[in-house]
Amino acid sequence: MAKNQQTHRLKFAAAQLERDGARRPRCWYRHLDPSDGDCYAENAIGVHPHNQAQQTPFQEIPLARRKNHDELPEPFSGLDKWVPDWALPDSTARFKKRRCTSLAEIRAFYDALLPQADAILKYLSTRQLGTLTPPEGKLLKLMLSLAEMGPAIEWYGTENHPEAFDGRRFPLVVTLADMSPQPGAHT
Amino acid sequence: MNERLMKTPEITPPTLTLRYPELGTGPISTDAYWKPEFYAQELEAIFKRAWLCVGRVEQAAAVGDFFVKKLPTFDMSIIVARGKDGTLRAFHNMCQHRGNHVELRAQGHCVGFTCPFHGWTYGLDGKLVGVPDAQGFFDLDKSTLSLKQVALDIWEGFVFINLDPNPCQSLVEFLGTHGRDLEGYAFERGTAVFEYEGTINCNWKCMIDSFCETYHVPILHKHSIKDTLAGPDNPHGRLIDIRLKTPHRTMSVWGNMAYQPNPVQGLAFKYAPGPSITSGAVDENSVLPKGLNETRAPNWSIDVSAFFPNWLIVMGSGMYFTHQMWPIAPNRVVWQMRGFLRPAQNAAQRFGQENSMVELRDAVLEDCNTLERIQSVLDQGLLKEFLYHDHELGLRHQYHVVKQWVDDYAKARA
Repeated sequence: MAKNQQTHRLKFAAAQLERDGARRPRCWYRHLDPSDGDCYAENAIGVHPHNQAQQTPFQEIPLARRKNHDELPEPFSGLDKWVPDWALPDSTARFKKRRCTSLAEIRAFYDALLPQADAILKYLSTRQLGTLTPPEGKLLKLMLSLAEMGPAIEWYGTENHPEAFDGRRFPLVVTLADMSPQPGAHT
Repeated sequence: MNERLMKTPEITPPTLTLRYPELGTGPISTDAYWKPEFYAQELEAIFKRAWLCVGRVEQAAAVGDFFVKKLPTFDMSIIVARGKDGTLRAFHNMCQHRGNHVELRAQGHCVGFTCPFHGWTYGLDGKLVGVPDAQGFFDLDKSTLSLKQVALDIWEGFVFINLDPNPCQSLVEFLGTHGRDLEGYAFERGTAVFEYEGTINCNWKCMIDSFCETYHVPILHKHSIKDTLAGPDNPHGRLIDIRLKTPHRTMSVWGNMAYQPNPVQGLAFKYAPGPSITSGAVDENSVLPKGLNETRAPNWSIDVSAFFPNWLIVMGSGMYFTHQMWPIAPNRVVWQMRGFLRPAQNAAQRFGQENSMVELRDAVLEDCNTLERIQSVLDQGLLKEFLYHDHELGLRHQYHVVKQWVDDYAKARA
């Protein structure tokens, strides 16, 4: 590896650490989710057992792609920093994220997204499922996380709701795809 | 009288139960909710004789399409397949040679079924078409070795089966006015489907009961749906109406039309592909069938339509979801909740769908700890009787219907 490339790489990692400093120790493992096209989704909750060995702080993902991964459509680029932890593969991952994240962290995400949520949805309402660009897809996935986190803040406001039943006992067995067109649309 | 009071629709007073004097008003024995002997009778008298919903026609729309439904109650696997003649048929997933399942996938498309054990093959109509090395068998008559067919019929796109080889009623007779009054609802528009499944440690009837009364809504659901399905004008969560169409019943649930949604929830209502169940909104373009909000109350949110024995449709004007309870023990039930949303017409509506799904899940999960606590008390034999509020009539009705089916079956066999 050329020396300047190495330096660039370390700088990037340092910036990443700084950015994440305020948050809990994060898992660096990135998981390529084949169901969502060219979408790197952060495995922010845990690591699948067969991937344990790959858990290493420096990932072999080309920097250019890594950068691209975090990009949202231009009007919403101020929210880029939420992409690694909150653009998740599917509904099951989002529910798990909610169960495994502190209320303070959920609130930080909620507070960051909510002021722009209506504008984002207006933007997304001009886009069709099945035709989203990677940045648009990330934007939708952030909003889907907001949909999951909404009740945590708006209904319960506590991590230990007394009637909270263990959600792992009631999993999704048929799930709605995040970004595919749905049967019956436009009829 | 001030204007608001004049506008507020009157809450149904406690007289619903008195419409059905045959059900009485006394306490109900809890025996049916935990005793293993009664449970065994229920399986024979009810689950092996009543029509059971197993899916929708869209799951096997084209010739050669099939889906496999597992019935946890009997650890049974049923194939529903569309034959070359366009007819849907149901079969036991059982090879006539040694009994192995002939189809292992949950759904798919095929020209027939091949047993993965010795390769016996069956057509979409269930007929045995191929036996490897057939000359090694003795007196093999293929014409008598079709897949074992199960009675199947369709109502409004929902596929029902009956495990009784000679059902005592047709599906139309079984559903009666309950089915007829709901015909015409746009069930087929709910093409965005999701499903949750879990095992809850309670009697199957208790699980159904938890969706058949809203008396508990202001208390148990105080963090979530209290303000939509109860609220200041209906502080005790009374129902609008209950209509018994024995053995089935429908509960019409009150809705708070003055409800102000929370921020994310409000955005989800705004960007939903159809009116959300808790939004209080009504789809002006939908023609509601006679049996939905039958009293045409203005402050209506949803109907809970209970199809005996184990299936409920919770219907709003723009979306619906179903619950199905499959008993696997006197105190255990497999619970399947399937949502049917209108399809997202753009990416923003996918957000509305996600929030509908999440709120629904969160709200129903609030019921489960209570159910398991109740069951542990029942299993100890501590609670002898249930006392039912007038607006818990649906629970009283379910008990009477179940008891009736069990008693009638015992009498017929005596």
